[in-house]
Amino acid sequence: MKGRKRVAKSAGGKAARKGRTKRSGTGHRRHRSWRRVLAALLLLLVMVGAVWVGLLDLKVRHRFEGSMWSLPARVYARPLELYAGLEIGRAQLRRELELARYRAVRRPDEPGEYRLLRERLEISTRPFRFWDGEEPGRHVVVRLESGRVAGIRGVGGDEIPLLRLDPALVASFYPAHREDRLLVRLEEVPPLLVDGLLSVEDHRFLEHHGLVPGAILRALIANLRAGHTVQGGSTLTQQLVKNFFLGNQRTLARKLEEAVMALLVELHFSKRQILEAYLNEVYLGQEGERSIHGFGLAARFWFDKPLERLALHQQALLVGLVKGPSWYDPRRHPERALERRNLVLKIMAERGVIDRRTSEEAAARPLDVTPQAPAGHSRYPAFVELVRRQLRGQYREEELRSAGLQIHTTLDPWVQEQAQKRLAERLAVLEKGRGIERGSLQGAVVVSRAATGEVLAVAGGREGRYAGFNRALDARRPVGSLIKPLVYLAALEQPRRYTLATLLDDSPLTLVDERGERWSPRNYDGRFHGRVPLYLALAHSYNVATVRLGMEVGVESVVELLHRLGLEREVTPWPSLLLGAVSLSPLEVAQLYQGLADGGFTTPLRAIRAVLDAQHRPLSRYPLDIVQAVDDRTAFLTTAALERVVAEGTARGLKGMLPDSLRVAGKTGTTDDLRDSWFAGFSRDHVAVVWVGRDDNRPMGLSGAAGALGVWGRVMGGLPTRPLRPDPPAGIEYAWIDPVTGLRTGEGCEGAVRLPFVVGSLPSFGEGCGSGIVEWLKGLFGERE
Amino acid sequence: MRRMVMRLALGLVMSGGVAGCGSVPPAPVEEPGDALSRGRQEPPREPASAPGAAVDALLARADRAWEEGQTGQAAVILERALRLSPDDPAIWFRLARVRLEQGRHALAASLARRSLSLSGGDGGVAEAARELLEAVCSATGGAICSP
Repeated sequence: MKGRKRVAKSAGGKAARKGRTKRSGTGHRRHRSWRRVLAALLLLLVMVGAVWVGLLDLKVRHRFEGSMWSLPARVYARPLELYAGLEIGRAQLRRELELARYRAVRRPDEPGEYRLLRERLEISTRPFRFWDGEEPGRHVVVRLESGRVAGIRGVGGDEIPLLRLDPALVASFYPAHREDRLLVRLEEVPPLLVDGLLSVEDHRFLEHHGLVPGAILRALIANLRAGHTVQGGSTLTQQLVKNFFLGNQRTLARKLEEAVMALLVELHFSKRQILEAYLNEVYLGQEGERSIHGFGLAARFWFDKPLERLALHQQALLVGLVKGPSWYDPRRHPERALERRNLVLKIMAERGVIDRRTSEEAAARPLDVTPQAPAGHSRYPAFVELVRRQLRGQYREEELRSAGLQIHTTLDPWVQEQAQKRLAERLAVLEKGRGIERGSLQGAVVVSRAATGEVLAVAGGREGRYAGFNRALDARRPVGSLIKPLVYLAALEQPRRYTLATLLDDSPLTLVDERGERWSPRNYDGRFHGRVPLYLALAHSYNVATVRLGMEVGVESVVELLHRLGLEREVTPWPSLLLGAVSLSPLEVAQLYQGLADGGFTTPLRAIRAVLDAQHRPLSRYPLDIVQAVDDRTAFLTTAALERVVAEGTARGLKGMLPDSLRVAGKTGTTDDLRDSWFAGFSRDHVAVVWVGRDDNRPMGLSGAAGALGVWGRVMGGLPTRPLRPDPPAGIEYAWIDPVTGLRTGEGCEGAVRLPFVVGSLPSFGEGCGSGIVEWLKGLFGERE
Repeated sequence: MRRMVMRLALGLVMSGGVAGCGSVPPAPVEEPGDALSRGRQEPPREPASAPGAAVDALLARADRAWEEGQTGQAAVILERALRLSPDDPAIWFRLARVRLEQGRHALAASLARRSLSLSGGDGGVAEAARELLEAVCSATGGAICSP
């Protein structure tokens, strides 16, 4: 009692004090104090109520005025660009269209439809906002001839030099609560759908102020009679409030809160705003952990169409789903869904939104949902992981998951799928053919574009569809002989000292290693080969000759070259580095070889082209940034030597896998006890690196040539790629060389090979065959190319 | 002032092959059997897109953007052209020209060297690339000069 008084006193303020001075007498006093308490309590209640309403008001306004939803980031593949001359097979074309969610139909009049015949592709493309502007939707015919695009023409007859399709969506970065939605503006929503929604869910929406007391009362009575909830009686505004703030609890307090908030929402915001918010908020489907919200995404989720293209019967189904998307799930419970949809159509006719005939016609149609929901998960998790890492420095995780970013990547879905498929196939074949325990082999593939450093594909393991240990990025393994081209490159940077014909010494060698121990490198075949020309020592991957060469050039020079070519990791210049005792990831190896493949120019490997905000405004671009790391002539010589690896060296096995016309350069890599099998190489357009090994790092019995080479050959063989450029850069001349002496010889002489040299570095003529006067004269003037 | 002179000089070199349709230099010669020559050999059953038409269209757009001073947009379009035709020294040169105008000297020089390397050192594009390298060298007070 005393306590209460004190509360009353402090909270009641002036009113309470006034009362105290006027009255007297014990009975009266008691009576009076009761009234005082009551008044005070009432006042308290009003004040608490006011504060409560004020808080709710703040909550409501905050939600409506800020960005209303967390929007997942969308990750796109590179767009497919079609133009006359493009090499593209039918299988690839079909797959690209499928991935970009184009539908094969007989008459492709609607955006997103195509028809592929033997020599023509008719397609209606969808408009799309790219980082460099809007690409309009077009209806065109693409002529195809023997694996190439022969030309593109609009249905109006106009020639189209270049057609860019909207890209395939390959992943989304979802907010923590896994809500997915595609925002729509009210004017993008078909009016009939809005009318249908209102007639079923809240036909007095335009008149009420957030609540319809009569409806609430009726619902209450109906529910009491039934003993459980049978009727909602909620307005759209109440439903929205419930979704936004309150969740599914059905206590009286919650009902009260909902009612007050509904009134507040109506007070502050227009019917249009409320309706638009509702259309985007409402829950309309579920796929695993991902929940589908809003009509925009629901249209794509159920029908794979943009909302504005839905027919009446489809709109009605969406309206029907508001009541319970899992109960009425049209894929799992088509009968229930059909019944619900037709009820919606009936109500729409009753309310005069559509006439009866229209309603009946629509009710006669099938559900028309796609059999499968478009995939919401990442198709290529290994690649997407690289994207995420490249974004990490610039965007916070929270921002990536909620700001609705549009991330345009360099992913080439065809190359990616080839890489995944070939890796999985080859590993299975290797296990079977060599009696290796099934499932014990693992591998990784990275493919990038030689000229631009764009990463096209990343396979992080044999199970391409599942995220897991990403070997392409995270498996750091000794690279073995993959390092050798760089040792030779470091030597060739001194053309006065070293040419491809310089004889190297492959005789026994002993040196003191970093631990102060004596070290005698040995060759893979266990033999020594005496004096061998430089190009042949690389082609056959002779260890002893390489170590000797590397020691002459200086291990520091090799390390410095690695950094010049883009390696960021610290490397200690120990002699064992010369045989690849440095652990790198396949991605790092790809970075090193990219510089070689692009004629000495290096560029950081990029997986992203641009990031746009939710309104498609460019936020950041990732422009091409190149540096000349190596003289183009030196790069050319090294590439020529790597061609010999394929032609006559450790990578001879590639011959059967690639067309004869496809000249490529590459190098095998094998580590101690056959633990790691590598192959890295390039054509004119593509750089690819393959690693094969075991996760537990135990020997698996495969050399580079036996393991990774087969994967590499099959990946490269499946790509539209061009052979290496035959024409050298300026400042290169060719000459015939006798591999035994390393000296010049005549074209017809036994064993003569034609090698490129930096102008001014030609060796002299040897004795014997070809040392005649003609060659001497040629030598005098050079045989320029 | 220097920029204007540069622009003029390069413009002159570049327009050598082109007058008429914007300023598109002749397409580079490619190996026989590739898209380019194949398309030319085949008798057109209907007026086909000329080979390289896609690149030409992009270059025309890039040149327009560049003329209008939209160097960022020009660079984006040129990079797109490079993806279609990565061995074309003229595209690398144009990108170098854009980067020079943006004041990115080191990058401009690298791009010009790439152009020079692909051109084999001969022809109008190579000449223009050399001039650009000289311009970079003098603009950077000798800090970025070709070997």
